[in-house]
Amino acid sequence: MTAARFVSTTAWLPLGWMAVFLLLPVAILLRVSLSEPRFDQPPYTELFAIDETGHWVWEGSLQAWRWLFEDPTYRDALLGSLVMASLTTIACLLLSLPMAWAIARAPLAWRTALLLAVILPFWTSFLIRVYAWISLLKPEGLINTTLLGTGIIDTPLLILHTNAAVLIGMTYAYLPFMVLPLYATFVRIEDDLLQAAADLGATPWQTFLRISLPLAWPGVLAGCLLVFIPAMGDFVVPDLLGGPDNYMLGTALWNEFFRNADWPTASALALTMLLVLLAPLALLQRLQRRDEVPA
Amino acid sequence: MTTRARGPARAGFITAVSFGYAFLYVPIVLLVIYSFNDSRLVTVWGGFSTRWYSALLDNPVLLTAAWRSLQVATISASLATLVGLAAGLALVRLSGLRRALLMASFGSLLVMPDVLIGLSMLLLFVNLEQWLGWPAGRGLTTVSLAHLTLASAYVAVVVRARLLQLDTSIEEAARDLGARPGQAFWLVTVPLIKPALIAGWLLAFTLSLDDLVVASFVSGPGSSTLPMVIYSSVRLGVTPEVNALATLLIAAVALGVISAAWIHHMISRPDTRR
Amino acid sequence: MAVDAAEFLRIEGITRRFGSIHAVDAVSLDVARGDTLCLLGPSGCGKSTLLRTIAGLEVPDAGRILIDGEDVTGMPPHERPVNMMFQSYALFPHMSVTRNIAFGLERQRLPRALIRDRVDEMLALVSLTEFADRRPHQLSGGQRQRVALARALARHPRVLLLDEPLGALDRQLRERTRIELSAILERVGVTCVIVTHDQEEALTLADTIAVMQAGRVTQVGTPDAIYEHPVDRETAELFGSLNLFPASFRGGQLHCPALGFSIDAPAGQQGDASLAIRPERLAVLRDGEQRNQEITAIVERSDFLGASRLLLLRLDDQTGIRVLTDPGNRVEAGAEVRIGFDQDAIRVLPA
Repeated sequence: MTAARFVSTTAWLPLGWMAVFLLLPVAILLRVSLSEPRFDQPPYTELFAIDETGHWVWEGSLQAWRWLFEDPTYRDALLGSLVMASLTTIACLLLSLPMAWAIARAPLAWRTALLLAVILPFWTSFLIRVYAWISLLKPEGLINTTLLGTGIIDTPLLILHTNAAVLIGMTYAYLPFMVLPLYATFVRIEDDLLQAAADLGATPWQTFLRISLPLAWPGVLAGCLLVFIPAMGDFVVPDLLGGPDNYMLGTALWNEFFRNADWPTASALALTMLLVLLAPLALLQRLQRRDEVPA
Repeated sequence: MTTRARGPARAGFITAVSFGYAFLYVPIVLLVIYSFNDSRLVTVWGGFSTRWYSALLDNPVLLTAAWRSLQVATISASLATLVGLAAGLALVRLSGLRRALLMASFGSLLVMPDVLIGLSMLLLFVNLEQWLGWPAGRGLTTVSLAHLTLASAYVAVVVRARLLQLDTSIEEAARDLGARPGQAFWLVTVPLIKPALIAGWLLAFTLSLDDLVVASFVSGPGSSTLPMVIYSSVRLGVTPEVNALATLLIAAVALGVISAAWIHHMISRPDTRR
Repeated sequence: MAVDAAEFLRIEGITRRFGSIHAVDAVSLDVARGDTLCLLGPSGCGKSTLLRTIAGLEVPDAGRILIDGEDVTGMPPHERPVNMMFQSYALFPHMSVTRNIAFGLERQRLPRALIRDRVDEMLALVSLTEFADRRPHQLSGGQRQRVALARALARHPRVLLLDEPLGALDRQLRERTRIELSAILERVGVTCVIVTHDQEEALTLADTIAVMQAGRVTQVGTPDAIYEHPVDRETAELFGSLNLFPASFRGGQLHCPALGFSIDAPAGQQGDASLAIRPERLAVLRDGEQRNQEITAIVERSDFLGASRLLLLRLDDQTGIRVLTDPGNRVEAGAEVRIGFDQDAIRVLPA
């Protein structure tokens, strides 16, 4: 067996796995989205039936898709997700830029500790950390109590179960997803470049704007996509911290499936989410391929 | 370094960075504090107490769910490491359409929203049961399979990164010295990427332990995982046992990460004699 | 199969393409049993690709490799009786020196006792017996190189390949290692192919040198032959700088206006050529000294190089000449000197 054939043979495992566990499901999503819900196993209708004359008859329906387009709540969910994901991305970016830069420029001994400090929360339960914010943000929560106690406000602020809470929660959850790729990008900008710029008269801010940022720009874009894409479909944060005025794709899909037991509509929603995310996904692929240097 | 900011710019920079870290850790610190709070209420400090920890031990639902989650995590992490290893190898050594497909698939798995993955996996399992009779019903098997799939993408990334750093002539030397390609990979390359495999396993383990959404979609009656149980109790109202559980998890993870880092530091010291 | 010992290793018409680039272009070479062939050339000339083809790590698009009459072209590297010492040494970091050397023998499933003996034999050959249990990261560069060599010889290959064997060593170490390496190769007597871009390595280690450029072999011969009679300018410049003067064939003679003389040339030769003289073959003539050819020039620079002195001179027509002379020959810039040379120092090269 040659080396090439060895790799080829080994590659069948992941390729086959992806075909069955990723590609096939997408096809099934499409199939289910063309059914209607029913009380049976499985809870969606068949696509074909045989009529009296023995011929196959098309039984599929576009009901789920029609609802998606007609019912304004789904449009609101899409819009809500787009807005929230974008705001989350911006907030993460603003917080991550100084952090990632600081870690990248820190002395080597510190860097591991600082990085671990960013990664550590990521390794502890996501669910629990979001839940912690409930205690912080509720009317009797820590933030309100502190603000009331120090006299900054008179009545408790309504933060929990508003979109503001969702934004805070999402930013909190996705912060490490932005810090790490930004760090990886910044750390590759050699000190020599920055020192040369300083030597030629640039202030630190000018150096950042004219040298670092342009060099880091693909990494920054990748970091943004790494936050934006999963944030579009996030469920946990909007569900725990959001209120009645918050409607996003993740919660919409969950509710269709678990509350309404409407698998076809949930599938149609899922496919819509996938379609919306195709462009950002492709862009991320392009960026990562261009950047073939390992992280 | 000559490029450090000075004066007010530097102060602002430091403030921003500190705020970032504080933002990350304040909720965690609070959880730990509340777990020892004798009072149920967040705003009232009822004195130091470990009652919530004992309550944890008395909570059979939580404990069985935790045990289930550990089982699923161990199985899916171990299998994911194998699939991820094969995927990482393929991503580095293949070319053309197959590599592009593999990159796109694994790349998407890494960022796709959980609800999307959860629903599609469930539909897959439902249909597989229809066509093949397996998996029979939804339970720990389906959750393990779903976690396996998701986690293998993370392992693949870690393995790929490490493989790219390796000197390719080492495996070539093994082949030159008489090892068949498979032997060369197994005897020479795999031992050299062991740290990456361990890191990948840990990543997969954590992912599985922590997953709520995918597990909710693909699990069945009587097979709730720990996150699912926590989620339902949280929805009903703040339960202080969860704080205790959270603190335990945080302590375990912190211990694990720090000892891993320390071990890594010890191993990579150049004067280490074996 | 009875095969002429002079064709022990036969490289026949090997071609290797990468896209539209011919890394190796229809190369044919023969190596006699026990001889050392050196592939010499600049980076990118295809020498490493050719070496890897012999090892089996590259599959040629055309051509054959024969070892002692046997066609090994289709054999994967783990089946070939060929072993290679890699440029980066490629030692297995997670194995001791002993296990590194034993690796190839274990693949052959030799009995344990035989493996032990062979490893001891190899360790003694490269003088590393006390380092048997060390790991690669505990060895110096020179020691690692010796382990790589021992490992490549352990299986008693019929052909040994060396990829830039001295490339990773610093100057000091290089000469000493070169001598040791040469001694070991001679003692073992294995047929050897060495790839190098360093002319000193080639001149000292090789029985035969094959000069490569852009995928082709441009000249094959003994070190002496190639140094004295290079076939073109690029080959000549591999061994040091040259003075080149344009010349042209006319009427049975080769005229060189810059040097101001003509020499007889075979009848029928036409067109342009270059006359080449090495800087060390030009002598600064003192009063009264004579050579059969002389020219006068003005010294532009005089650089002291320690073991020698390099003079840059200018002729009337502004042509530059480089002369390598004794360090003690203190000629000043601006002085006019007479330069002499023997006619047999002249080489005629293509234009």
